[in-house]
Amino acid sequence: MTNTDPRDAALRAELLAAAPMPTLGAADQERLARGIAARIAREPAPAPPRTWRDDLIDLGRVVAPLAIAAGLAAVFLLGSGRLPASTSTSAETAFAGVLAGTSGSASLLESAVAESAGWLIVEGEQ
Amino acid sequence: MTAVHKPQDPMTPVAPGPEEEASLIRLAQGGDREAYDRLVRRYLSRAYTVAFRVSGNRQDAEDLVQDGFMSAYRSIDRFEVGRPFGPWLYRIITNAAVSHLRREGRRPTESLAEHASAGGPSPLGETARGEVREQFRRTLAELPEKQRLAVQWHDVDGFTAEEIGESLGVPSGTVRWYLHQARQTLRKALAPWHGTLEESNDEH
Repeated sequence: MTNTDPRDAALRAELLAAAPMPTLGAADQERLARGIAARIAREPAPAPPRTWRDDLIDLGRVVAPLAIAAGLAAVFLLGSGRLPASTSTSAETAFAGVLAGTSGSASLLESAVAESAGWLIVEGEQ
Repeated sequence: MTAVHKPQDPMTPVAPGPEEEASLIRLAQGGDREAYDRLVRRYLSRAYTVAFRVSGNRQDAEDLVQDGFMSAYRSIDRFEVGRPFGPWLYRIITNAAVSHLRREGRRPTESLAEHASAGGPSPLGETARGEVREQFRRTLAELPEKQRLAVQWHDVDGFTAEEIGESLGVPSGTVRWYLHQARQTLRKALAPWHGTLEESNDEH
């Protein structure tokens, strides 16, 4: 920044005179830095920076219970014959997909639930 | 007189380059307290200046600086590496200081009195100096808070408009407007002794 207006020079000089730049001596800086370091030492280590995976996991924690509840409800309705049998394939597929998307170990659970759903559907049709 | 006033605090360590700073922040995010200590030491003096200007006295400024660095440490996982650390820290300190003052219902006029005798000779004549300074100091203290901070941080402490904008949470263009307004008001306080009261031609 270069300013050649003499009025600004006078203004800055008066500003400096009225409220000079506050300075912190070396000893005070050292004292403050040590104080902060001592407080930091008592703090737990900061959490690692968040990534998109963390956000996805958090979202999964909210969505998964709802999806499972909806899936179980669909299975129950299919099993009790309150839904047409033609719904079974799409419901089963959707339910398995939801499970696969929201569970870290989805494959086993998916098979188990899909099998149960299939069994219930067959039972319901009979 | 050439008006290039860019004061440099001799105690202020040279700011790290962006790469080095990013590296320190990454290390600190990973729990490296020594890296954070290096950041503290690099920004301590500037952080103190920010806190002092807002709070108005040394003890409050020291407390605010310590609390500010602690808050920044606790939130460092949310800090976006690559952005400048200083303005982020200054904003934390400024917000805390402003809240502190509002809780206590006061303005930081002590700082002006505290330093009034430390500023060296005034450019104005000896006879008028006391009166002018008193009026000038009063005008400065009565400026809207953001204008006062902007003009002191910029014209005395050497912060850029961008840094001030980050600290106050406003765009740098708004900071330039604050500077323009503050200088106009302050020039009016000086006008009787300079015999001029022209419109500002701030280029900032």
